[in-house]
Amino acid sequence: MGFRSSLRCLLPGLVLMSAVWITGCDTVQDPMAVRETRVGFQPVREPVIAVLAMRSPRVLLLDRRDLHTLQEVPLRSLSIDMDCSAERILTAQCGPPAERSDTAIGVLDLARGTRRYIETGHLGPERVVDVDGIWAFALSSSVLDAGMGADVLDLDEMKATGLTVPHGTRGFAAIRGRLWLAERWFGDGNETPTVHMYEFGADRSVRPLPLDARDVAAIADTGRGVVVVRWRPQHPEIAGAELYSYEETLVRSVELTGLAGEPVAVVGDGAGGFAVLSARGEDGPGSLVFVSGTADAPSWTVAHIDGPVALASTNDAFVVGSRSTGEVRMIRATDGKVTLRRKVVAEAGDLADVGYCAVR
Amino acid sequence: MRYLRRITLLGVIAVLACAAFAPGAYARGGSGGGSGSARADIPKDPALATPEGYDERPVEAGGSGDGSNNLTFGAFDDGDLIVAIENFSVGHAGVWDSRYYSNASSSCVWSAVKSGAGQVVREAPIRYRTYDRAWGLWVPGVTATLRTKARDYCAAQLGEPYDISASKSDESRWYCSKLAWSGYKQRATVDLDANGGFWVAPTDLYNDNDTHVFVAAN
Repeated sequence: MGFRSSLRCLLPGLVLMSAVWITGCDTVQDPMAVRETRVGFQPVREPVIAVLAMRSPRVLLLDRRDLHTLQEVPLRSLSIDMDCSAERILTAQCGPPAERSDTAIGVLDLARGTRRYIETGHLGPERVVDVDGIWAFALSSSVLDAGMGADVLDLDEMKATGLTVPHGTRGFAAIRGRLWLAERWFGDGNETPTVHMYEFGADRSVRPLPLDARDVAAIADTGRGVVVVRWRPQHPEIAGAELYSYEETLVRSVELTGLAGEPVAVVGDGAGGFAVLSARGEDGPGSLVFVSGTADAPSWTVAHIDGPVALASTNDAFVVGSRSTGEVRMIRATDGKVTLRRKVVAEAGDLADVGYCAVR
Repeated sequence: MRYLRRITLLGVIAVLACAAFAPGAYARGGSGGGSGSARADIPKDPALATPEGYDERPVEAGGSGDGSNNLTFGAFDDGDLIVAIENFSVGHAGVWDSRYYSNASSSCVWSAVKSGAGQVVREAPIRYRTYDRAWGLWVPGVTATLRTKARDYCAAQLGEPYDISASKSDESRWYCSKLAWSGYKQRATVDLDANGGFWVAPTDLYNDNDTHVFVAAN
């Protein structure tokens, strides 16, 4: 075979390779195309701390041993809330507040390293809770005649079923496969709210809870029962927590001393104890107060936490995220010692939430 | 005479005590907005002044919302306006409802948004931090009672649809800045549209002489 005939044979191949190369370059240079192709992330094989960041919306996965960032998972729109479990991270994709309000819940499957979205029927889902890995609940900013727009999410089928819940629904917690919710609603210009607590199931059944619903600031499963934190802005000095059995019987009350201000979040330690994160004003100084499973007073308090906004439990430690500093702290559950502290996002105001993924 | 002085003195003390310890006196780090004397008065940016004869349709009341700002919310009170913009004609606006506020993620701002099936919403103020610039505005010429009524007017529109083409007189369809404008127009008889005309954009609320800036970001 002569040089010309070789060239004739090779020419189509060269042209094809050039075309592929040029197309490939175009794909890489087009940021939209890059965004569309980055649908996955490295599968996660061991427990990680998750941090939700607002700017360039993303989830950071941190090594729980030193809080170094292992990887970042970009999200398609602004998210201000997430919920973590051993298998997945759910993100409420509310989006910006206007034309580009989003309607989805992000589902990050940690073992598979995939990121998918469940489309809900409501504008601006701002809250999401994973109910013991069985189903999930999302609460949106949509206010309809019948109540607030919400969705029950089937995590196996990746489907959302829209519904409405009482207008003033706010705090909620997953309790043994169901949700406990608190409602505080000022209808028709009332200055005195209608308050009640109710239990909500995946089957959309609603059952009123026989609890005093006034002044409820936060609710959590402690692993042995339910803790309800109460706080009144007019009387911050008498904040307290009530511990209920799963059968809704009051077991004991605890006076919460050491709060810096309004409770921001409460989490259980899985053994009947709980920690309350509080802050004085927007991004103001805060504290973490821990009450062990049998105590009737706080066991320890960590004061002087700048701008705390989010709290999670690893059972043997608590994870606190600070919006104003972009820091994450690991605080040992046994004695309240800060064992790790790292600035994980550069910009103040970027950190929105923290969580713990107990990947097995 | 001495008796009269004592009565006057006791009266003054009683009034001051009531003002200090009344339940409504508690504000979450804010001024309360009732008296107005404690609020900052930040000069408005002349670069955002509405050009003469300008009355264009707001760009679907929103924009991409891919900016960032650090607007703080501790000083907001009932009926205050929250306005955020990306450029002159693209932005968002809402009316503050302090009854629902506990932190930046609390759903406490009444507005109307479009994306799919648009409607009146009660959204979290932290989402307004996704614009390049943002402000807290109030209307000092209106009493606290009327500002609260303006808030209630916005809240009463729940369930109603979004429509960027809705006229000002249409009280059944809304876009973000029209909802805020209507609250004050209907309940306080104050027109917060700086340049009048058919449209009321977020920048119109900012530029109106009746609104004052008490907190600003970027």
